[in-house]
Amino acid sequence: MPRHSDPAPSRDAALLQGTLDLLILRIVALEPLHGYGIVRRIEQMSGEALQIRQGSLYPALYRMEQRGLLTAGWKTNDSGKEAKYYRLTKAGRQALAEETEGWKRLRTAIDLVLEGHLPGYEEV
Amino acid sequence: MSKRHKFETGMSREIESHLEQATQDYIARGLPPEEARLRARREFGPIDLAKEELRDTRRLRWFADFLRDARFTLRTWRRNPAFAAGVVAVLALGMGSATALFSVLDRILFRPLPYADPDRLVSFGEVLPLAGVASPPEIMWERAYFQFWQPAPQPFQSVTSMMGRGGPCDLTEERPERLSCARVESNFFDVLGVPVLLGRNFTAEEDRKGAPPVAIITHALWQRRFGGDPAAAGKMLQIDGNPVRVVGVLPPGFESPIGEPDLFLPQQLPPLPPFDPNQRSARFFTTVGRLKPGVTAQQATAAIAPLIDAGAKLFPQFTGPTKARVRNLRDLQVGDASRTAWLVLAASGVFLLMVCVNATGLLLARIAARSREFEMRAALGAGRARLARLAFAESILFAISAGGLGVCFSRGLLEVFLRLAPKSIPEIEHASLDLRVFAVAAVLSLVCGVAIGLWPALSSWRAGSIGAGSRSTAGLRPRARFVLISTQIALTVALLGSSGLLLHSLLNLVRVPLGFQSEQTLTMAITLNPANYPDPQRQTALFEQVLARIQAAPGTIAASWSNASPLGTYIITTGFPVDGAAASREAGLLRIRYATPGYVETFRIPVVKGRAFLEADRDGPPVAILS
Repeated sequence: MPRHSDPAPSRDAALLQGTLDLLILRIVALEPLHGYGIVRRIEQMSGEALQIRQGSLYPALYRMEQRGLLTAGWKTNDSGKEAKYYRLTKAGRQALAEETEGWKRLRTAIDLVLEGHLPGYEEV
Repeated sequence: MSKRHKFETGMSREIESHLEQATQDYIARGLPPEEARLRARREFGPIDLAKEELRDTRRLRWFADFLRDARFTLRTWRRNPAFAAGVVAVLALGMGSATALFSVLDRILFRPLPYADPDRLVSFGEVLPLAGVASPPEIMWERAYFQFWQPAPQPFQSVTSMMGRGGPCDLTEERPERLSCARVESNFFDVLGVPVLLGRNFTAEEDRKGAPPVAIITHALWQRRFGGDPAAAGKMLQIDGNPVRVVGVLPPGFESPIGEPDLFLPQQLPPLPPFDPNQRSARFFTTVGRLKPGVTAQQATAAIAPLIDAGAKLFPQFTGPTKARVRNLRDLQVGDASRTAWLVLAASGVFLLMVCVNATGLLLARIAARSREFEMRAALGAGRARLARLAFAESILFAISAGGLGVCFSRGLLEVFLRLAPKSIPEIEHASLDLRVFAVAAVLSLVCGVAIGLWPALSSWRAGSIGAGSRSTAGLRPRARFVLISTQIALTVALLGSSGLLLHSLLNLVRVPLGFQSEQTLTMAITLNPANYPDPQRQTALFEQVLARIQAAPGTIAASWSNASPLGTYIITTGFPVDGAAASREAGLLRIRYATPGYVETFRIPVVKGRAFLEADRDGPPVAILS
């Protein structure tokens, strides 16, 4: 299995500012998950393209918990180990909907710029 | 602490569990355990850094919340500037006056004296039996001191003496200057526990009669005369025409137990003359002792009473009871001022309380007016705690702005105080706004902020709990308003009453019949330099000349010389026989002033019986006027 030997995310996979929150909301919306699980899930779901600096994950989680988007609690997982599981709140679900909407608008806008043409000009 | 502890352990546990899972994952993928662990650690990055970032989220949140509330509050102030300015002004008035008063009273009441272990330093001696003096000082007769107090008796560790508060002396060289010189025993600074900044202390030899004159000077004089020259120790100063060698410089901030001398000289007393039962004058000292650890002033007073008694018996003229006194040096310095100081401090406290109650009232009224807004917020999902915090932030913001304004205000007020204050308040000229006072002002404004914010916060808490606008009476309930207004009125009345009483006793002081008329009476004092006026003839000639000129000046009704003005200093003497009846000690000591003819007329002192001094009395048989 190809893994980056460099723990820092590669440049092309660097996360846009603010998108980490959106990814976390999305992952946790699927099922309550602990920090490590969130890291792995993002990597898996992005086809290993997105690498998260693990140290920056927890500040994001803590802030989101403080803003009331997530709640957290300790639970024993299937292998009998304790872990802190994060779960989406009502406000978190709302934020996920809003931010997904925002992200889609942004993506559409960027796509338009990247793929569009000015009238009267041919692409070289 | 416990909350923080919980946060810390939770954080460590979570990181631990993360690393554990990552390691298990790698092992499952076939890595050897050791390498798996290392890899997990490496991918996580520096743990301490991560922890610090997590802690930041917690700290910043508190601060960020406050900033947000503060910004919001400022916006509401802008919408209603009159209200905000009113509350800030009222609070600033209270805090400013309290701060200014504290800076004045701090010197008298709280600031530790600049000596080593100052609580163990006391002034001790016999309370002078002076009739008609409000608070006679405690002194020690020279003979008694050398007979009974050398070496220091129980419960003292050491004792030292000082001759008075320092008298005028002249620096007779370039840039002449009038100074205050005090004579002290050679161990004076050792007993006080004040090390010299520069040079050395006095030696016992320098305290002997006839030893070459030496001096220890204050930091201020060192700066003034020597420009802070480190080589000043050893240099000469001309004092009253005589060369005096400076051997040491005192640290800045040194305070003499009494007086404010610029220069200290050894006493250099002559050996005591043989005991003479008819002796009517004697030297006395202000004596300072360092108590052994754990001895209280009361215990020391009881312990020295027999010694004081024995000392008094060295004056056979005095056979009556003596009163020993031992008191803290601070009490010696400030005298009776401390009781007044406490009263004034208490009054300013009550004033501040009243100001806070008023501010609370205003804030509560505002919360009542904003009840709709608070209900709306509650309906939109704001928690009660959030609402309470908003109200609290407003009061803290009020207190902080008022505290800042109050400090500026207190600066001005302090100027006024210092102008108005009588010189008799000890140490008042040193009152200033320093870090200590600022710290008190800061604490004061925070306490006020909490005090005025508590009720409004609770009130908005209730507003939040009412929920989606079932009723619109979120503000003050009639009963609470009644309590608040009653408190306000009660405090106002109490304060008015107490300040009235204070004013009354002050007026009483001012109105004490002085026995003379101070209106349109001017006084001046001259101290002659012994170098230029060595003998009585030359001194008298000058005084006569000055007096003649003053009397000749237009507008002068009467003028005279005296060694002291009414209420001023005096010479103390023992009682003496009147028409054969021996004076008893019960009669106490007498105070004497010398005066030229015209003294009585100048001060317009009514002569009840007999006559005033006449020119003929100058050369005639000695005469006296009794009080």
